[in-house]
Amino acid sequence: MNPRATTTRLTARAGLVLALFLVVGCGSDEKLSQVSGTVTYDGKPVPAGTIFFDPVAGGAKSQGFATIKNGEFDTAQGGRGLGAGKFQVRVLGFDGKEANDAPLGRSLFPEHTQSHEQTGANATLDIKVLKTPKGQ
Amino acid sequence: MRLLFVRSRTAFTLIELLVVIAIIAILIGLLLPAVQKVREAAARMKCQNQIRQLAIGLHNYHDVHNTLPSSYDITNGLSWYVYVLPFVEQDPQFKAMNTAPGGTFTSTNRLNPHGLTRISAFLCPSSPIDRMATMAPHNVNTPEIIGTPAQGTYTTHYYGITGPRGTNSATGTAYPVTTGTHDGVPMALSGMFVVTPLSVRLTDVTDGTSVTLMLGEMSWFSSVYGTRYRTWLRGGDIGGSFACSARNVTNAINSGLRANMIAAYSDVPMGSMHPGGASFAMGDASVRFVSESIDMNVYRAIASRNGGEVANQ
Repeated sequence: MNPRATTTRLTARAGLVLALFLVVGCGSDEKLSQVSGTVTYDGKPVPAGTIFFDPVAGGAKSQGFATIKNGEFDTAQGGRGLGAGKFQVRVLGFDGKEANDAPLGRSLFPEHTQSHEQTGANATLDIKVLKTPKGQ
Repeated sequence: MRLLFVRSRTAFTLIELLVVIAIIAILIGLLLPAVQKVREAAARMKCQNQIRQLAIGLHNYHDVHNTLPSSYDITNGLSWYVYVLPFVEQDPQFKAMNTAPGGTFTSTNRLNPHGLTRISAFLCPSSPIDRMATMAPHNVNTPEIIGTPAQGTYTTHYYGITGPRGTNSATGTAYPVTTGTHDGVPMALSGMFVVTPLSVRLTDVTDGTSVTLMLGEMSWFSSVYGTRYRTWLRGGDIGGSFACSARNVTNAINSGLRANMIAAYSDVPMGSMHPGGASFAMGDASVRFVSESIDMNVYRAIASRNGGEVANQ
């Protein structure tokens, strides 16, 4: 066989392997999908707040998050989406009336938690925080 | 011979000149962003050196006092930064301050005039803000804006880690927290900077000091909320359930910066204006730049000193 053709084939193979490494190499970035929905407290939309999605160990890696404005949230709006897996949702709600040392206003309820599962497709989630009677 | 001489004096054509100018323009275009990147890289290096010096100062503090400082001094409300001053070559500043119980200032040290002293070793050079926000309309920090004309006191960008808040991925149980809350959120208790009057000795760091976070960088700036920075010498209210000088590891790095969100004070996330993450000092005073896309369970695991998790880094 012509030595030049062998060299060319070797170079092509090396290039293919390199290209594969380049494609596979940064595999740590997980594929994210978005979640959006509404948050109500005692039946009324939560004026301001934050929502975080903590990955349960063994599933997704990074944390998803979004801000709540006028009872709605969307991780695609300045937040971060979710990998596929189980999550614990943490919601903080505020009255939205900005005051001294309270940029989102006063807290409406203690941190609300619930579970959520993201399949890998974009999802919607409607969270209803119930008003608990005093003393409970 | 004469013909050759004439040929050698032939000038550039206009096209040749334009091509040369275009090539030079492309080269300069390539160079300018590189210069900007070098500036940011230099600022990040300076920032990491500062957080390392602070961590070494804390080790020297530990050598003298046989324990790390609490997140703040319960007797006078002063932060741990005040007590580490002699170990980071700021002894004159330390001597100028009153550290007696109760102090001569307000119980919370909010209006302590030493807050107007800028200590550059506590401030990240990449951050656009080094003091409390005074701008309208989100001037939410009036208690610590002092002097005539009104000035925001200088802050700090390197915070103690009180520990993780959430679920321990190794045991499935919740990490320990205080019973008291502020903004509806408690303080974590399993990090290296526990809330006063407790304090941590290096032998308490059973997960290993090289894989446990000691200090974190929080130097990001929210143009909407001013990022809730406090005067550097303020530790917390006497008997309070929050610390101005330490934060929980609850929320992802840079989550506040990306979503422009600020809610619970103790949970304000770490983050910086360096692209892609923030600097952290580990318990052995080594410094790492941690990516904002770090696995959240690993981030919590390395924030706890005694969780028993295997931190697969």
